[in-house]
Amino acid sequence: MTKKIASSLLILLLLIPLSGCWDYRGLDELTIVTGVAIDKKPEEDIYQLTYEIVDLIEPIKEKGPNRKLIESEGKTIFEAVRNAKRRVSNKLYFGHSELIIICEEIARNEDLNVVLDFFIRDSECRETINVVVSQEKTARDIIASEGIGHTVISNEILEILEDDKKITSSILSVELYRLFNIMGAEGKELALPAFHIVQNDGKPTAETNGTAVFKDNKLVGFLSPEESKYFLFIVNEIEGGIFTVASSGQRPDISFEIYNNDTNLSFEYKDEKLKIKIKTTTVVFLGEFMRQFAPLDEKELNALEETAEKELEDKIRNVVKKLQTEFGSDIFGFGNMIYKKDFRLWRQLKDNWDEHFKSLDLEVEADIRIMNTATIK
Amino acid sequence: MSRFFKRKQDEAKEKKEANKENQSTAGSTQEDSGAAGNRGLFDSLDSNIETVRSLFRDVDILRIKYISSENDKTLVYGIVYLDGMVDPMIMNESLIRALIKSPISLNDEDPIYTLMTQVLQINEMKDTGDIDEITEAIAYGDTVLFINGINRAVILNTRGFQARSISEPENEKNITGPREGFTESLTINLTMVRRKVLSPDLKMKTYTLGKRTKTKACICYMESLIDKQILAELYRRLSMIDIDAVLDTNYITELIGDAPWSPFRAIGYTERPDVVVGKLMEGRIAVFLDGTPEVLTLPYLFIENFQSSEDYYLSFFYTSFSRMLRVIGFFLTVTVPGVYIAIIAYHPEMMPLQLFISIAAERQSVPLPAALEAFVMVFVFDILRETGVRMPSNIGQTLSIVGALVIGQASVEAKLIAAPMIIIVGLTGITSLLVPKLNAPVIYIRFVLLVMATFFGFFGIIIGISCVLIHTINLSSFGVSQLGFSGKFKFQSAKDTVIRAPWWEMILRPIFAKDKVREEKGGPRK
Repeated sequence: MTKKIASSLLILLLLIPLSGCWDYRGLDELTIVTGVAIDKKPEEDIYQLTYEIVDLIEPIKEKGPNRKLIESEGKTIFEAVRNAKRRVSNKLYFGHSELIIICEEIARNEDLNVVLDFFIRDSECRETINVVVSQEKTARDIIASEGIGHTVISNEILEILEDDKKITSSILSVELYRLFNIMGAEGKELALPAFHIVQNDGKPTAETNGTAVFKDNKLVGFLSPEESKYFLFIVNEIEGGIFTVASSGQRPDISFEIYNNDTNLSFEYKDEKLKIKIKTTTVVFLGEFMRQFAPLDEKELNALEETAEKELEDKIRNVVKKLQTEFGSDIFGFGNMIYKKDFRLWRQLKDNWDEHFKSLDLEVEADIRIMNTATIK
Repeated sequence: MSRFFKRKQDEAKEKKEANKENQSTAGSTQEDSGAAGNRGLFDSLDSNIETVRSLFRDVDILRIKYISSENDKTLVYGIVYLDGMVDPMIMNESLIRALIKSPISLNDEDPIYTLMTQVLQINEMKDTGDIDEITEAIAYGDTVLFINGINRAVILNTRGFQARSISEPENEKNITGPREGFTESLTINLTMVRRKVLSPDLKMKTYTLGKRTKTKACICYMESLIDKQILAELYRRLSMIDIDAVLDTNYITELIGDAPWSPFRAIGYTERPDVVVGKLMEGRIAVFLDGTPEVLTLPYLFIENFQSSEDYYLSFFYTSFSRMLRVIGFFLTVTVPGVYIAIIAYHPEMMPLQLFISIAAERQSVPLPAALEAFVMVFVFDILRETGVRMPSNIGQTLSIVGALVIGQASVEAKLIAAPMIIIVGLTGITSLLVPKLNAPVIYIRFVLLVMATFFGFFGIIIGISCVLIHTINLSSFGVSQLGFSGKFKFQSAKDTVIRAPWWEMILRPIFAKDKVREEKGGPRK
């Protein structure tokens, strides 16, 4: 019996090394970081990090959680993170961080791979942190702005990113692990959501502002929110949003609410000429028609559908054109599609993919169906 | 005298002679042991009375009354009984009066036989020459009749002591269904069961337990349903009981249970006759004990902890849900404090941010670390619960005020205890009341899981739960696996577990019953 007890106690002792490197940490010993902004002092080559933390000292019962900012500097990101402890009593806790904001300057001049390395290596950070690019002078401007729905701006931005796909369709949110996946993938370039500051009710407020286009992990330019929408059409990430069309003349007067969309990409390689085929099938509701309220008959609807199809095809073409000519960055992953579907061809094209991308032909076919108009004749 | 009666008389004579032989052998063995001198009876009434009196010396409620017959003044009867344990009506009307008026004389051929068949108007009687049997009968409330010049006595059933009236058991209250509960009297209890089962297949075997109390027990079972091996095992274990007194069935449970060091029960108990009958019909054995309303049923399956008789009296839709609640409640009450500590102290990343912020804000400036706080609060809850059980009911309000206001509200407002901890302890406490039959194991398992969570986080909880699972899977009750875990899922065997299937679906009895098919035809639903 004693032998039995002794041996089971010994087995229980094994638990201590098995449990790995973790420790009892009281919740009151943590500084909860919700978001990080990464800036750089240009002249000194030193990273400046701004952390948004949840303020647990103020009573949160009435007003909800408040927030504070902590700043720290360091030659590397990790060093900067640890340097923050020099001015905070409790260690920074990244387990619930939701947002990394990178300033435009770092994005343009440094390899993202290098900058974000700490966050993917660190055991505390989640791989689902969203990464965005600040269009302001510093990333700190974004994190220092005030949220409208939440006091904690990282929460606010996270919710904006999460809901965007269904409501406005103007950005493609990218989580850290996907960011590294894209950076490691062949024939695909990175596109991150961009944020800028606008004045709302007299206060600086963060707002999404299209897409930051990367090439070889470095920022090369931005797409406007409108262009980003057609970028989303191409990569089949549309789940909702508004698509405006001009029924006659220049000014758009119809708002279609996108119900669902399915985009098919295919390619054709003939006579050393690459042709990408984009076929979209979209179901929309007629949500607003600023020309007439009278119900539409089938003929009119068909005409509208045709106009919309043409418009969509044009817009998609324009976006691809812009990336081909201005940025030369394949954020659509056309190359990746070839890599997956025809690896032999990809090996041929891989070396001059940039050239191929710039010169590829495009065939766009949009199919739009108006499901309802909310009025009946 | 009819011919039939003559034959009976002859038989009685033979019996008597046989008895005499037995008596002499018994007497000799007793003499060898030298316990109390001669254990047989004398011819002389006075010596017999004196023997009894000396055995019951210092028992002041022993009553001895001499009666002589109108008919034959030399015929003197001695009646011995314990005051308060006999029914005076029976004594006066059927015994004393009948004896005085009796036409018997000592010269009759067999006065005892005539007495028993023609004079005494009492339903149950027995003639004996064994002094042990006589003392036991007196102690049990019977009256013993000695006759001058005859070395035998008659034991008469004149029992008439007061018993508590039949009422609904406090601990097993039902909304619907039968409301009667067992009393402390074995005979009343047995009749309650007998009234529900009119078949002679219901067997009731008496057994005596307790070296000094000689308490009567009764073992009931449906002969065609039970597994004889389980019965034999029960008798074997009962025969090994060597204890002075058995005042409650829990004495038996502890002495003959399968795994004495396990906090889980190996034998079920109930105060409700309907439950006992239900268990008997599933091929279980019931053990009644005189002096307690608690009746044991065995073998005991783990799921019986969650079953209640009401499950069968209400719609199966409703009771399936409450079964699930009880099972969930058990898991919650065992794991909630441990899981809370594990998340708070080791895995804060498992919480959603908003919850995390709320709890973290509550934990600011609270003096104790969360784990210690949990120990203190779980302990305080147990104190409150125990006080509630032991306390006279008319000061119950004090407890609720102290418990709810002082320990709950005030300690949170004074920032001594974090508010989430109060919620956790409240949840733990309420869910523990869902499964009262598992109270004992729950306290220990909860505590062990809390310790494991404090030192190892979730990892410790998983280890702790695994240990408990291994233990419960190994539990057995009279050779029957309590969890019935075979690694293979059979729908039929799950029909009265987490859900309570409708009756037409539960066509099989539990695994240990001899006759497994409960409903062959299945009734109108099939």
